[in-house]
Amino acid sequence: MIKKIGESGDVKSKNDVYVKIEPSDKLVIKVETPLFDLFGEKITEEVKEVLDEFNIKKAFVTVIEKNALDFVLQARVEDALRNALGERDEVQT
Amino acid sequence: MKFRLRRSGLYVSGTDTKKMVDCGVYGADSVVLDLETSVPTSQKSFARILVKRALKKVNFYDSEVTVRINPIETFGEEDLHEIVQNKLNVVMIPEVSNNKTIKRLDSLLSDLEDERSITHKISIIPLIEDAIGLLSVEKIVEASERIVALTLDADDYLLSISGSRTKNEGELIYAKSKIVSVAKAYGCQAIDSVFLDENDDEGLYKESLAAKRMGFDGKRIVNPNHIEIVHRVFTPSLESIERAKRIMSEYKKNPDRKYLFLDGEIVRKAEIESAKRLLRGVF
Amino acid sequence: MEFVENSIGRLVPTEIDGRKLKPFKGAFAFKPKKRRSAFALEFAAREKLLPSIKDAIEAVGFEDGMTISFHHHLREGDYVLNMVLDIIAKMGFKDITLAASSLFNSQSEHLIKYIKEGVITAIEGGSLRGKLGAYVTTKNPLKKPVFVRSHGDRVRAIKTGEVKIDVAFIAAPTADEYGNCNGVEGKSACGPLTYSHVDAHYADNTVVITDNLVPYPATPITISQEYVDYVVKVDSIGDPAKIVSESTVITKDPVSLLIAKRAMKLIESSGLLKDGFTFQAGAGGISLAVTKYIHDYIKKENIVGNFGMGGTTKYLVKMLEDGVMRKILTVQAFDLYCIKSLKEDYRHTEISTSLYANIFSKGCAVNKLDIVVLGATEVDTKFNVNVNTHSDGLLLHPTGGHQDTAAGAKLTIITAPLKRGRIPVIVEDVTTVTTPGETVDAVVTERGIAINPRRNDLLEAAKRKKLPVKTIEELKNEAYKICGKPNPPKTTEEIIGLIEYRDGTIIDVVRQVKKSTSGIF
Repeated sequence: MIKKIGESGDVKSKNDVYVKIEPSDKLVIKVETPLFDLFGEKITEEVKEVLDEFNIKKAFVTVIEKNALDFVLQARVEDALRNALGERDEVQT
Repeated sequence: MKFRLRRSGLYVSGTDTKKMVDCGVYGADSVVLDLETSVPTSQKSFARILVKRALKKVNFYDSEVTVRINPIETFGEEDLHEIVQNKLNVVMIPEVSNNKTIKRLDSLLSDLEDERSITHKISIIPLIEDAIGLLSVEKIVEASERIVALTLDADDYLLSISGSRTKNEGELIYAKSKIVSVAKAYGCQAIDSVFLDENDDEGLYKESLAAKRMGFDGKRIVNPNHIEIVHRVFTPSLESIERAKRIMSEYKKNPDRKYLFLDGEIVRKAEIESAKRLLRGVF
Repeated sequence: MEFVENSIGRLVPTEIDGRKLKPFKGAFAFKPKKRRSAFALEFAAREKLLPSIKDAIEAVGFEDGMTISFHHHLREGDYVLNMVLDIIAKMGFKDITLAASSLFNSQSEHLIKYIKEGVITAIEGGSLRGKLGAYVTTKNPLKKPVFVRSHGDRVRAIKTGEVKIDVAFIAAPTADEYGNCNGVEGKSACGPLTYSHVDAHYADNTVVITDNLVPYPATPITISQEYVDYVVKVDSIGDPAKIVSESTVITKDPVSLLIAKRAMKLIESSGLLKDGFTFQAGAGGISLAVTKYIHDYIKKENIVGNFGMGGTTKYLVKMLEDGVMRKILTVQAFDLYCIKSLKEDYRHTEISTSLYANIFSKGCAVNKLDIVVLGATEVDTKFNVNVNTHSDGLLLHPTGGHQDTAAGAKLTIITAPLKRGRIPVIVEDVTTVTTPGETVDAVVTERGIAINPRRNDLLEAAKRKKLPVKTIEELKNEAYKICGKPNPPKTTEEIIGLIEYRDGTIIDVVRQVKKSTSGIF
C-alpha cells in the first residue's frame, strides 16, 4: 500500500526523469514530456509495468520526462514507488 | 577459473543515465558500473535500481559486465540483492582488508546464484585499499575460487598510510609489486589503478607503460577515448603470441620432459608459465 | 488541394497559390527548359550614399507586397535583418515576402512579431530555426507554405524568376560609397559574401548596409558596384562575437569520436584518398574530427588533395597551410582563422553559391567532390535523409548544401548517432525527406555502418577491412529496440512547408503539427 509521497529524480536533469508517486483512490498517470506525441502512450505503459511488478493498482503518478530511455524511467518509477511504500529507510546523511 | 582479456575497465557511474546505454559500444574489455565512490549516499538506492535495470535492458556487446558494489559493511549486501542476475559477470568489491569479507561475498553469491537460477559462477575482483589488506592479500586470494584478478585503489591506499601521490608513483612500488606477485602466483590477473584525468592522454600512456612493465594486465579508466591507448600498451605483441604458441605446442608434445628446447635453446620455466598465461588470456 | 505521389512515395501538392509545382522524379531526372531570366539594365551615375535605411527604402519605391532578401553570413550575430524589418514595419508596410538565404534564432522574436502583425506574410527559401520554426509549424500563420531550399536551389529559383526579389539588403562588413563590398575586412568581418551574389545580380534593387565605409574602391570586390543602387552606413551591422567563433573545437564526446573514427576507416577503405582527392565536411563536431583524421592520414601517406570545400573552419585551413591541400573553396566561414586565411592566402578563394551548387549551370563545384561527410536528424531504411525536421515534425533546420553535395560527391557519408536520447535516428521512414536515398552511399553510427545496396563495391571494400557493417534494417531494429518505435507527430491537413529538391521539384511536405507536451491517463 502506498503510505506516503515517494519521489525520485530532479526536474531539471537532461536525459533523466522526475517521478512523484502519491496515494490515490484510483490509477492516474500524468506525463509531461517534449516527446509526448511520439512516446506518450509507451511511457505510460512503462510506468504501469513497474506498478504491476509491485501489484499497485491505485496511485497518482506524476512523470516529468526529459528524453530518457525506458530503463531509466522505470528505475525512477521503482525508486519513487519503493520510497512511497516505505520499503526503504531514509539514509541518515 | 574464467580467463579473458581485461586490458581496459571502463567506469560508468551508477547514476549516469546518459552514458550507461552507450558504454558497451567502445570495445572495452570490461565495463564497470559503479555503485560506490561515484554515487552520493542519497542516491545509492536509485543507483542500484538503475544498474539492475540497465543490466536487463542494455546491450553491452562483447564487454564483460562488472559492478563495483559498496563495501559489505555498508551497502554491499543490499547492492548484491538488487543486482545479481544472469548478465552480471563480475563483482568488484572495495575495502577488502581480510579474507572474511571475501568468504561472506562468496557465500552470498552462491546463495543468490541458486535462488535466481544463474547459469554461471559470478567472479570476484577485490580492491585492496589499505596496508592491512595489502599484507593479507595472499589469504584474500585463497579465500575464494571466484577471484579472477586483484586491483589496488592507489589513492585510498596512500591515504590509509599517510602517503601522497606523485607523478612517477615511486611511493606505490611496493604495494603494486606485491599485488602483481600474489596475483600471478595464484593464476590471477593484476589490474592497475584507475586513471581519472580525462584530458591527459600522455599521462595515461606513461602510467600504463609503467604498469605493463611491472606485470599488470590492464588498467581502469573513465574516458572511453582512452581505451585505444590502454589497448595499445597492454595487448601482447604478435611476436610474443607467436612465441608463446610455439612454446606451448612443443610443451604439449611431452609435458613431463625435463627440458624444453626451442631453436636449440632451453626454454626457462618462467617462460613456459608466461606462455600458458598469455594463451589462456588471448585465445 | 490536389496531390500526387512523387518518385519516393511522398504525397506532394500539384499547385500552390497559382504556382504549378513539379513532383520529385529522381536526383538527376529533371532537365531545365527555360532560359535564365535576364536582369534589368540600369544607368546609374548618381550619388548612391544615403543617410539612413529609411531613405533607401523610400528611394527604391518600396511598396506593400514586395519580396525582400538578406544573406546569413552574419549568423546569430546579424543586426541588419531586424533593423530593416523594424523600419519597414514602422513605415507601415505590409504583406512582405521574406526571401533570406537562412534565418537564425536571434531573428525569431522580430519575425514572430511581424508575422503576427501582418508585416510578413510569406517566407521563401532558406529555413526556419528555433522558436520561429516551432511557431510557424504549429500555428500556420503565413499565407503560403514556406519554401525550404538548398543553397543551390535558392540560386536556381532566383535565376528562373520563381523567386523575384524586389529589394536585396546586403549587410557588408566593408563597402565603398559606390556599392562595392567584401566580407573579409572591418570589425564585423564574416569572410565570404557568397550568398548575396545572386541577390545582387537579380534583384530589382540592391541596398548595401555597412558599418565600415572605406575610400573607393573597396577591394577585394565580392559584390560589384554594377549591381548596387544605394549604400547606407550604420553604427554596427552585427555582433562580432556571434558572427563567427573565436575558434572551432573538435568534439570530445566519445560517441561522436567513435563515429568519426569509423567514418575515417570507411573513407580509407573506399580508395578515394589518393593524390588529387577532393572533399567537404561540415562544421559539426563529428565533421571536424573527420577533417583532422584525414589531415593526419594524408600527411603520413604523403598525399595532397586538390581542394577542400566548406563551411570552412580552422581545421580545413590548417590542411592548406600544412601543404596537404592545394586549394580551398569557401562558401561560408565559421571562425576567425578562416577569415584571415581567406584574406591573405591566394590559394583560398570565396565562391558564389551558384558556382558552388547551382544544378542548372554549366557545372557546379559539388560535382567535383570525391568525399562529403554530412549529418542528419533522421535516416530511413531507404537511405533517405532528414535534416529539416525532428521526429516531432517541427521545421527547425535549413537544408544548406546537403542535397547539393550528396548529389555531387562520389562518396556521400552520413554520420549520426543511432539515437539521440530516446529518439531513434535510424528509422523506418523519415518524418521529412530532405535528401533522397539514391544520393547517399553510407550511414556511419556508433553501433555499425550501413552501406547503400547500390554500392556493392563499397560494401566489399568495407568488409575486407573488417569494418562493423550491418544492414540498415538491422540498425533500425536496434534503434527501435533501445528506444521503442515512436508514433508519428500529430498533424493537420494544412501544409506549412514545401521541401524543394535542388532542381525545383517538390520532394516532401511539412504539415502543421499539433504538439502536446503533456497528458493524463
